[in-house]
Amino acid sequence: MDEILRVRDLKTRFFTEEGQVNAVESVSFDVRDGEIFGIVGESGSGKSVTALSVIDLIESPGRVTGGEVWYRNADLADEFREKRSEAVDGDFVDLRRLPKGVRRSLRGPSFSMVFQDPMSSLNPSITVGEQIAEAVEVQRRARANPRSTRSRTQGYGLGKYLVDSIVPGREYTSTESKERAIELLEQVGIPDPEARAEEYPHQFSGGMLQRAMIAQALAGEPDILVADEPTTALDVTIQAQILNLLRDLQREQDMSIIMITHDLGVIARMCDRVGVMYAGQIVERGTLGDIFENPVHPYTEGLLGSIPDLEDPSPRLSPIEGNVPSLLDSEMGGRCYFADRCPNAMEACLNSIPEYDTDSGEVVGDGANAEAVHTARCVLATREFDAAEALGDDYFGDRAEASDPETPDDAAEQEVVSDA
Amino acid sequence: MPERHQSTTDGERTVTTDGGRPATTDGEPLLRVRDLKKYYGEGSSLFETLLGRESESVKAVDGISFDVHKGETVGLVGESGCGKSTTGETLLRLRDATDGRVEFDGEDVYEMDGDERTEFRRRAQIVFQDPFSSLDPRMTIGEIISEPYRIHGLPEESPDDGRSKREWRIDQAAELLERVGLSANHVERYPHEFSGGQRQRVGIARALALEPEFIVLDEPVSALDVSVQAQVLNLLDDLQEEFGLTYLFIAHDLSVVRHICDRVAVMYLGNIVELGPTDELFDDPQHPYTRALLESVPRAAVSESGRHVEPLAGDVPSPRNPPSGCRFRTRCPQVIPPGDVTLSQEAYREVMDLRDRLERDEFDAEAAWSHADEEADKPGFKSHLREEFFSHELTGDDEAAVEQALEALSNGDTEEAIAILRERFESVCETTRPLLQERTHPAACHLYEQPADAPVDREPVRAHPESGVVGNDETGAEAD
Ligand code: SF4
Ligand code: SF4
Repeated sequence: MDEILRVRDLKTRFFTEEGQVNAVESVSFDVRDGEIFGIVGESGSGKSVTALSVIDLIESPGRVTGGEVWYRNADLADEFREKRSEAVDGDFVDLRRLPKGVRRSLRGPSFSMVFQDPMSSLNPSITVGEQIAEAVEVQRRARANPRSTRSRTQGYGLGKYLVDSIVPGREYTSTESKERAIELLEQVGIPDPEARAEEYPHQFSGGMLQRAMIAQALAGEPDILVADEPTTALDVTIQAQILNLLRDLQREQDMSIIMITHDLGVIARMCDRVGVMYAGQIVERGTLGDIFENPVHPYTEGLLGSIPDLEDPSPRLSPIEGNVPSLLDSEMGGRCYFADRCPNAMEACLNSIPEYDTDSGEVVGDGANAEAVHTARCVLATREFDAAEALGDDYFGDRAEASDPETPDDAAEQEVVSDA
Repeated sequence: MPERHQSTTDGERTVTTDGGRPATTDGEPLLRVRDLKKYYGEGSSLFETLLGRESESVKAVDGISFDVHKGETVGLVGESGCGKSTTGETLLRLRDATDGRVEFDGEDVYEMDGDERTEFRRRAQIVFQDPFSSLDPRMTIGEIISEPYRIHGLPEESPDDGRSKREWRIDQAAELLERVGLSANHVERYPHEFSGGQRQRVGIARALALEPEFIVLDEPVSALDVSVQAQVLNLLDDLQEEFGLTYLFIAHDLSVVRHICDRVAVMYLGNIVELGPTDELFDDPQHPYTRALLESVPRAAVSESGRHVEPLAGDVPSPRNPPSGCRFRTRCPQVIPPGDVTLSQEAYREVMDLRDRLERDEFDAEAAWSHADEEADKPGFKSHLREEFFSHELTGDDEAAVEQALEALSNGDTEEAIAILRERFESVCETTRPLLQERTHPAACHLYEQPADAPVDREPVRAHPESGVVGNDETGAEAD
C-alpha cells in the first residue's frame, strides 16, 4: 500500500506566559491509502495538537516550528515542481513549504476533520441541511475555480471560522447542493433525511449530531479524514454505531482516517496501525499486533496494564506510577521523558532517545530505516534491561510527587474525557 | 427463549468467591432501596428543580429496588439519562425522592431528622466525578479535607496535647492525605496545584474524614486518564479493605464496573433491567439491553479488530414520555411477537416501526402520495409505502394484515390502520411492564418467566424512539 501522507520530525510549540511548551516533539509517521491510522495517548500527550499541526490548524500562541508534512497529490506536485522544487518530491508535496492559501484550499477536498463536540462544527442557528449544503457549495466552487475561491474554505471544519466568516445564508446554497446535503445525511445513516435537514442542531441527539458533522466533513470527499475523539462524548451503544459508520465510509470512499483517541479499545476495533504518544512524542508505533501483543516501550506496557479487562477481571491493575510531566521546554531536559515513571529507567536513559527500529535496533532516520514498521523511542529496543545500571527509586525525587501536575498544554490539548 | 438461569430463589444473594471478591455477609442489608422514584418537572432545569418547581413529568428514576450489603460494592451502570446518578443522590437525600423508601441500617432515610439525620450524613458519603466543582478554590487542601469536621463540630473538646481544634483538624487532614497516597505536607497547597488524579484522591480523603461506612462513588474515575484511573481504582480497593467500606459505584464504563464491583445493576431509562453477581452478569447476560451494551464495548485487544458488532439502532427515548411496557422495546432486537405471528424479527421490527410512526402522528401521507402517479393511484401509494418500510417478506395473515392497514392508509384512515396493526401485532413487550424476579440474577424481560401479577401498562402508548436529545437538560439531572 502506498502512503498518502508522510509526516517527518514535526514540531509544534506553544508560547505561553509560563514559557515555551513543546506540545509536539519530533513526530514522524505515515498514513497509507485506505487505512485507519490511530494515535493514542492520554491528556496532554499532544495527540490532538499533532493532528491539528498536520492539517495546519494550529492557532496562536501555538506554531508549527519544524518538520515536513508530505502529502501525495500528483496535481499539486506538477503545479509546484518548477516553482518550488524543494517542496516537491515525486508525487509528494511538502505542505509546510506550500503557500498558505494553497494549504488552506486543501481543507475539504484533501483533509477534513470531525471533533469530539459536534457543536464546534455546527452553527446552532442554521438548519443542519443548510450547513451541509453550504459545505457542499464551498467544495463545488473550489472545484470550479480552485485558486480564487478556494480560500473561502478557510477554516473549513472549524466551527468558529464557519460562524465568523462564512455564515451561510439561505440565498447562498443552490438546490443542487441541498439535494447533495440530503444525500450525505442519508449516507451517514440519518433516518428521514429530508425532514431532518430542516431541523436545527439542538433538535438532534448526540449521535445524530455526530453523524451530521461527519456528513459535513464528507462534503469535499477528502482523501484524509482526521477524527479527533469522535465518540468520546457518546454512550457506548451510540459509539458502536458511529464507529461502524466511520469504518463503512472509509471503505466506501476509500479514504484514509487518522483516528485520535484515548481509548485503546477504539484503537483495537478501528485501526490498522497505531502510534502511542507520550509527552509530545510518538514513543512507539507499529501494527495493532506490535503494540498490543509485542510492546517494547514501558509506557505502552503500562497503558495496557492500566485498563481493566472486560472479559477477565484481574484482581489488581498495574497502573503507571506518577503523573504526566510538564512539557515546558525549560523543564524537559535531554532524557527519555518517561524516565521518571519508568520501572526500567537506567543510566542510558538520561540521554535524548531517538526512534529505534525494534527489529534491527537501529536508529530510524531519513535513511534506510525510515520505513521501519515497528519503532520505539526506548533503549530497550536496542538492549536488555540491566538492573546494575538501574537508576535508584529516588533518582527523580519522590515519584508520586515529582511532577508538576497541571501543565499549560492541558489546555492546548483541548480534550475532555467523557463524563457521560 | 428458554429460561437460562434457574438459580436459587432465596430472594437474597449468592456468595461469589472467585476473582478474589469478598463474599457478602448474611443478615440485613446496609442499604435497602424499595421502589424509589424521582420525577422532574416539565422543562425543569436543575435550577428550577432547586427552586422546588417539580411536577411529575420526567421519570428520571422510576421505581427501582435493590440492596447493598455491608462490605460489598454494588455497581449502578448505564448510559446517559438512565437515572444512575439521580439514584445515588436521591438515596443519600441530596435530592428529594418522589416516591419510594430507602433504609440505611434499618432506618428510613427520608424519615430521619435532627441527630439521626446528622448521623446519617456522617455514615454515608459521596464522591463526585469532579470533587472540586462545588468547593471554594481559595481553600487549602487541608481546609477542604477537614471541613466535614468543622461542619460536624469536631473535635468536641480541644485535644489534651495543647493543639487547637483547628490544628487537630489539619493534622487529621494530613493523616488522611497519606492514607490516600499523597504527602502530608500537601495540606498547605491549593486545588489548582493538583492534577486530576490527585484531586480525586483529595476528594476521597475528604469523604473518609468522618469515618463513614458507606460511600456513593459517582463516576469517580471517568474524568481521569487510564493510567491514573488505575491508581485510583487500586486505592479504592485498598481503602475498602482497610476500613471495611461499602460502596455504591456509579459508572458508565463497563470494564471498570466489572473490575471493581461484586454485584451490578444495569439501568435503562429509569429502571433496573438486570441485576446480578458481577461475573454471572458479564459472563451470562440475560437482558437484551445488557447483551447489547456488553457487545458494544470495544476491547483493547488485537482480536477486537474486525469483530462484527451489531449496534443497537436508534437513540434512547425521552424519559418524558417513555415507551409503555418494556422501556427498551423500541430498540430491542428480540421484541416478542404474539404467538400466531411467524415473522422474522427483522420483519416484525419493520411492522412495529410503521405502527410507531403512525401512532406518533409522524406519518406524512402527502409525501407518500407524491410518489404515486396520480391522486387515485392507490396501488402506487401502497407500493411506495412497502418500499419505504419493508425490506423483508411478509406472508399469510401477517401479509394480509399489513395489506389491510395500507389499504386503510390509502383511504386516509390512519386510526383504522393503527387498529388493524395493533390487533394483529401487539406485543407483550408493549402492554406489560416486565419486572425483576425474586432471585440472585433477575432480568426484567418477557423472555424470562415473569411474576403473575406483572402490571398491564398501556399508557402512555406512544413511543419516541428517535425524538431529540436525551440526557442532562431533559432529565434535569446532571452527570447521569
Ligand atoms: S528509554 Fe529508559 S526510561 Fe525511557 S522508557 Fe525506555 S527504559 Fe524506560
Ligand atoms: S421485554 Fe421484550 S422488548 Fe423488553 S427486553 Fe425483553 S424482549 Fe426486549
